[in-house]
Amino acid sequence: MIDVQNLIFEYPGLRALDDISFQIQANSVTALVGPNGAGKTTLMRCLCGLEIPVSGDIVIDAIDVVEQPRRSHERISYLSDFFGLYDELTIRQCLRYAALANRASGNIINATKRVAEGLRLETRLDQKVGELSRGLRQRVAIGQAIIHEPKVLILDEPASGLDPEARHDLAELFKQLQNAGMTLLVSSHILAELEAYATDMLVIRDGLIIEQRSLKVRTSAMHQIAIDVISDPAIVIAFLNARPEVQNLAAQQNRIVCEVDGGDRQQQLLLTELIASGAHIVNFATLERDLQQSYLDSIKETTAP
Amino acid sequence: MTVNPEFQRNLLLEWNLHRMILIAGVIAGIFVLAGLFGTQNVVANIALLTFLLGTVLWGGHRAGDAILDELRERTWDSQKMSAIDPWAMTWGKLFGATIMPWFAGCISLIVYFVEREGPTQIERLQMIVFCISGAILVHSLSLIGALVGTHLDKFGKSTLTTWASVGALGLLAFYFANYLRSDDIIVWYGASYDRFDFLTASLLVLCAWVTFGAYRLMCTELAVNTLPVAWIAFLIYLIVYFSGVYVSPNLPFTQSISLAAAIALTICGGSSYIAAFALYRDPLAFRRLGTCVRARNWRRFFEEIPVWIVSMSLALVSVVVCAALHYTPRYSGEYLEHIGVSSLAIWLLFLRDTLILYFFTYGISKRRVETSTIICLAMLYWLIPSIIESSGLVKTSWLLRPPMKDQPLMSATIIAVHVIFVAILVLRRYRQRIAPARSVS
Repeated sequence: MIDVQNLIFEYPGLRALDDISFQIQANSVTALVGPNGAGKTTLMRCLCGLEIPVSGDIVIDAIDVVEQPRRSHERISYLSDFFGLYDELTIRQCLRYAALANRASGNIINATKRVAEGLRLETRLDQKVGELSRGLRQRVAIGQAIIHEPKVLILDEPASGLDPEARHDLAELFKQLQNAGMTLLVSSHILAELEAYATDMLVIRDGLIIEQRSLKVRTSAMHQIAIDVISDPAIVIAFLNARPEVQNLAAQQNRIVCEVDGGDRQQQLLLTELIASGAHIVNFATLERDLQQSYLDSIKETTAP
Repeated sequence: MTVNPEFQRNLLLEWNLHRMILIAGVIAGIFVLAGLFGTQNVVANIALLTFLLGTVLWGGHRAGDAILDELRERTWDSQKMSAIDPWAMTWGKLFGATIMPWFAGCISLIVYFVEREGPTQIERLQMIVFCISGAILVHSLSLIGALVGTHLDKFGKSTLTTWASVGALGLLAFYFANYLRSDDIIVWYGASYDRFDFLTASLLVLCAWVTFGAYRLMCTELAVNTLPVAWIAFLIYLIVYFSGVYVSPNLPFTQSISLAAAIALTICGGSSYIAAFALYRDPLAFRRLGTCVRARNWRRFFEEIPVWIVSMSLALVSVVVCAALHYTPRYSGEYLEHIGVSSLAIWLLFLRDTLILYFFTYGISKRRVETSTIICLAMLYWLIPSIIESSGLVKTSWLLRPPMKDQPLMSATIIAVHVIFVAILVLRRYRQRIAPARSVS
């Protein structure tokens, strides 16, 4: 759905995006992560045709964004981190304006109703936007962005300033949009919350894409295992250290975490032998690598000498 | 038929019964008071003044705010990405944001038409056309100022919008002052026209050009790529328009061409100054142009080229014409005798000054670029040469202020050296600050 090739964007004396290339599959939710100043917002604005790169190609849904930015806007919606709304208008008027301005297909009243229901705003349609809370304003802004059913939705820090409940609602909404066939690119500093809905991760640092990976597909045979014992962790540590398939062992009090090379069968065998060796095990579980860990691993790999 | 959504949105924000009653009440009060203490013509004049204050000035302010409000409210990005076409966006803002000033203006113009004694109905209608086109001209220029200001900081935005409005009012005052002059005939390309007819037509055409200019700038903002043909067409229009004042069928053909070329040099050079100073100078524009050249993407190259370069190129054409004809216009004063060779020196001065502007643009501070350039130019044109001259070193002062009238060839050579020197400085600064770019870290 999104194909970026050799993209270079510069500010005076500063290369913000340094010859980057990547692809994003249709119907995915990609988390764009990276430290402050990495180039996330610049990349998003380039994808939307709001900034003109020095060179490179951006193709979204078979449309060249650099050459035909206007045409690409029919397929893309963008919500910036500091989005604005017309405070003096009601939610209904805002959604109606967005529908007309973006040439939403079908009946405008039905489109407004559909979006309001999807965002649980139907009871507040005649309330002025200026009177809404941050979470509700966020929903209205997303409603405006999706009312014309774009194929790609790009959101810059959509959850900033939201309370936990509003963040949960937002995650649910993103899953709903993905299920409706939309492709989402979301940047955020709150990695735990991205994990709730992201299918892919794109890590950017110093204007370079340092990693792109799927969060739903395990890329290697290594599994992280946590083992809890009620006593004598030394027995377990000694046993595991002797096993060739066990790596990166770390222990803290009665919890031992290690990586095991192998699938379910290998893990079952290891557990059987551990119990047979007399270890007092109360928990033996596979740890899912969370987004935070994936991100930190990526950063660690790129910064390693 | 779908009503322009931008116009609709502005109506929702601006138009309400409460404001209508308030405005109508205030204006009615003014006219009643004027009617109590003055004649019908006094009421008519007050109506024109109300139009000037209510529609021209307040409307101009509102037209600029139509863009500045979007920037303040951070809604401009979503507007830029909307499907509203640039023309709909332009007129939606131009007439939507100014709907209340136009409401006030309509009342004022109706009162003027009814109360004015003396002129015929046609003359009164003509005055109304004059007022309406003047108001649209001011509104459009204010919108242009705000559109150009979208790339500037908060200070730059308000300064530019203010200057655009002041410029528009100046233009309007010029037309109006001409209208009030006693002689009632204007000679244009040898033909005589009624002064007011000619000025009304001129204002109408200028109003159309400025509104079209606002539309073209809106195209750029809404990512509709355009070639600079509209700019070229506007310059050609100005050349043809102003040449009409000096050129007449009685003049020999070469003399007419020579005069038109001199006027073209003035207009193109002046417009290159205005474009370079007023429009956004993207520091990376030349890097992107370089990419276009390497990729042989000529259409993109001409879409991205700064318009001051277009003006300078047209000015160079007029230099070639001037130099080729090297003709002495009979009545245009002694100086124009040497315009043929001097035109090259003048063109080089335009180029040097624009390069100085770019030298400051590529500097560390993004603020006060224009002020620094103006101070630098004042020193080069006036202060330093005057000091040197007052010391008795007249010929030394020629190094900065060459005698273009008496020594055109030498002057052109001196200014060419200036251009090379400043170009080297600009290039050095460009390499230091703009390229080669380094990575973020």
